[in-house]
Amino acid sequence: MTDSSKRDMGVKYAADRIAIERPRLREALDFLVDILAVQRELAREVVSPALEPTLPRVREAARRVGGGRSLLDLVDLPELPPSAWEMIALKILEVIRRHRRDLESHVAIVEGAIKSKRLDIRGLAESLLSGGGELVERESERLGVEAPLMETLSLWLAQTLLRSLSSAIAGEIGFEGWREGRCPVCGSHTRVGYMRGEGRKLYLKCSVCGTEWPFQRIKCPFCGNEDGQTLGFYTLGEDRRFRLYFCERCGRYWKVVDEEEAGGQIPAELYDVWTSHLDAIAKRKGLR
Amino acid sequence: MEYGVLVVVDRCIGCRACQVACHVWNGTEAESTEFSPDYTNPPDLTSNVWTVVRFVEMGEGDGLRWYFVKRQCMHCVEPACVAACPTGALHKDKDGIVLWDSKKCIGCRYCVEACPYGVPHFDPLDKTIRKCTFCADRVREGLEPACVAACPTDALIFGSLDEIRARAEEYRAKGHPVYGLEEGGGTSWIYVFPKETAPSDAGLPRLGPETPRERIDKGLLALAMAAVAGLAAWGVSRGKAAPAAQEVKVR
Amino acid sequence: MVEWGILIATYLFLGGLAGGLFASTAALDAITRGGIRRTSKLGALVSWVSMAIGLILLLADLGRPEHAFRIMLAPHMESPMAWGAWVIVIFTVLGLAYWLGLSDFGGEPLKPLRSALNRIKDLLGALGSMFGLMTAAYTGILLGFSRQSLWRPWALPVLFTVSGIATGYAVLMYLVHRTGEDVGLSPAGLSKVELIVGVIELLVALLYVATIPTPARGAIASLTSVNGVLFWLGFVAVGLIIGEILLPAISLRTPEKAPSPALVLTTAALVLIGGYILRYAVLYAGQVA
Ligand code: SF4
Ligand code: SF4
Ligand code: SF4
Ligand SMILES: [Zn+2]
Ligand SMILES: [Zn+2]
Repeated sequence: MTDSSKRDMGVKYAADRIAIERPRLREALDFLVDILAVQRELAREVVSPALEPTLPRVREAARRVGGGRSLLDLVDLPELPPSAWEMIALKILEVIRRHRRDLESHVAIVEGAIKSKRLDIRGLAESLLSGGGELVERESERLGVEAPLMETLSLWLAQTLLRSLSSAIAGEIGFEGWREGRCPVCGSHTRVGYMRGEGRKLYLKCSVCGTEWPFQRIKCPFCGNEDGQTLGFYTLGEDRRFRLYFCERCGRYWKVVDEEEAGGQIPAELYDVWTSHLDAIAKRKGLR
Repeated sequence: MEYGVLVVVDRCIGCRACQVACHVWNGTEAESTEFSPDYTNPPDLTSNVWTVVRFVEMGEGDGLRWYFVKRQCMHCVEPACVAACPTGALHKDKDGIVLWDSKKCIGCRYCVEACPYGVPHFDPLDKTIRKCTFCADRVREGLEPACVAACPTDALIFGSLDEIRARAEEYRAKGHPVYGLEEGGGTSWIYVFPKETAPSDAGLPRLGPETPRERIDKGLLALAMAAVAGLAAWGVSRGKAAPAAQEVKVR
Repeated sequence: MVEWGILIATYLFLGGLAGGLFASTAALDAITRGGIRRTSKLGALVSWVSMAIGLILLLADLGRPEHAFRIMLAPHMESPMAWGAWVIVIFTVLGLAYWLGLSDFGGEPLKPLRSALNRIKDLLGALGSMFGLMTAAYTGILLGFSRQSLWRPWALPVLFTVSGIATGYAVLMYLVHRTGEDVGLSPAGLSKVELIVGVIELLVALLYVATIPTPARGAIASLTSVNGVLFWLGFVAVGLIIGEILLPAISLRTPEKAPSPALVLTTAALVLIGGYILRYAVLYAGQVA
């Protein structure tokens, strides 16, 4: 067995572990495990080879990350050939098709648009990063498909590229100059983190590209508030594995897995889903 | 309901996905230092290797080929390990799964010697016996065992023991050698072998139908005979002494 | 892989010795109607100490000796090891009581206890012989409940029992010699017993080897393996044929004369060495076969 299939297996069984604890997450987990495996495969087979030529430039830029400027603030999103984008989009649609039979007719429409080259795939991927949802909205309206389907597609398209990028430059970025709550690679905000090691050092994990970076424990990743009086966290009774942090100044929350308590059985890729019950609690408490 | 697994040897391609799955699920990976990290061919089960795919040669000359036989705890219907364990640390649960309680294990390793399949191994670090758990933490939650879930060719079939036994009977009727229906009282993991092969070539012991309980009864009989012999030896000696002693008195 | 090693081999040997020695001692004591108090006392003591050392070795071999109490307090009674443990503990208590009844241990304060025990000496001797031979047999039965083909023949517990008697008897002969007490039997009679036990043991040993299933037999029957050499040379040739058969036969040639101290000592030593090698070879060969 190859290392990558071992890794996929590890994620799959970690998902089983979560599902045993919270059976209601079963479907979401299966979906996630599937897309993670497909994205890894695409990264290996399609994205990495295509990225190869641009890597020196990107690596160089990676070393300059800091002072509030993320990698994508310094370089453009690398180019992929249209055939690669098409392949990625089709594979992602396959995953959606496997898990959302109810969307079959919509999936078929998008698939048709891709095959007849009537969909701006790269545009979709970029729109997610630029934060503007207009293209997604416009395209879903034009094709007559559900907007969430288009959103998911664009997120996963961007993710496939960015995950490759993040792992290609892993080790190049010095995180010393990065004190932001935003991702040093793609610039996205995240609400997932973990504490690791004896001193329970805090790391944030980008939910888009997977980059992990150290972050100050008493600081809001959203507004930068460092006032301990207005920052705090909840735990769930006896269960010390998860912490729901909140900032009273901006009303945002973020979720932290205490790995010293949780053990190392669940890979960080699944932390967001694993902690999804905290989202519900946060909502009840009026946090955003 | 008791669980069972049918191992259809014919379908196994020797990919060892089950081995990896077992390590991944049970977290036994990190501690196995004796073997190459990619698990190519661990020679035997250990306290950290709960399943192993054995490569068996078949045929000769040009016809030479391999077949693959996965080994793990058989979760015997009447487990010798459970019978041997002096503290009840090893036990068979209602669902047929043979598990151990590390708090009760005293580390005597009797189970290691008793198991016909060489399955349990004592872990010097954990100070307890360790072996395949039938993934009780999965199957009791409605999932398949990790190894079964990982098998790409459906060589491993998970189900109720009754169903598995029935399937094994079908294969037997078609002329396949089957292992585990009767041996030593039967097992929960039952093997279907390719025609023209023998389970003993794959290292499965030729066990008669004698169950551990029956063997223990013979042991008890032997013990009783020793008791009688001890008593008799003393009694005879005593009897020899009596007349001599009386003679002394008379004189 | 060798799971049970030297500690267990020694324990098996000591268990057999303790059982055989007690049974021989109690028998000789019964024959003489208690006429060999010093010998009996010594025999019981050596037997008890052997068993105690054996138990310590057994504990030392456990992965978690601090949990050994479970065998006694919460045993799984189906397990041969569990009932064996009870047999041994009862035997140890009986042996201690038997010895105490004969000794002066504990002076005045223990006197009532000692005389009470002395009064039931016959009962203790009978029960002790019973549990002694059970202990000796159990060491073989323990191995018999295993997957090892070398340990499964029913002749093995018989062999271990007879060997236990032989080693125990050899030690007893040495003790008789040391105390110089009159055992009421002629030296020839004593040697004859030894010779008979030796011949029986030889037959059982051959029977044992013959009843091992073929593929496994080589591990002990073939002289190409270390254990085979140990078994045939150490146990059969030295311990059995020389120690238990030839040497007693030599003393039989001078039936009236007590055997020389050197002869008694040599006999005991050879028999003990042979008995030890038997346990060692069977235990190790069983796990590699
Ligand atoms: S295979 Fe061995 S360890 Fe497993 S249940 Fe049977 S006797 Fe016990
Ligand atoms: S080693 Fe542990 S589990 Fe095995 S028989 Fe001894 S006490 Fe029982
Ligand atoms: S059932 Fe579970 S513990 Fe047993 S071999 Fe399969 S994966 Fe390993
Ligand atoms: Zn990112
Ligand atoms: Zn804030």
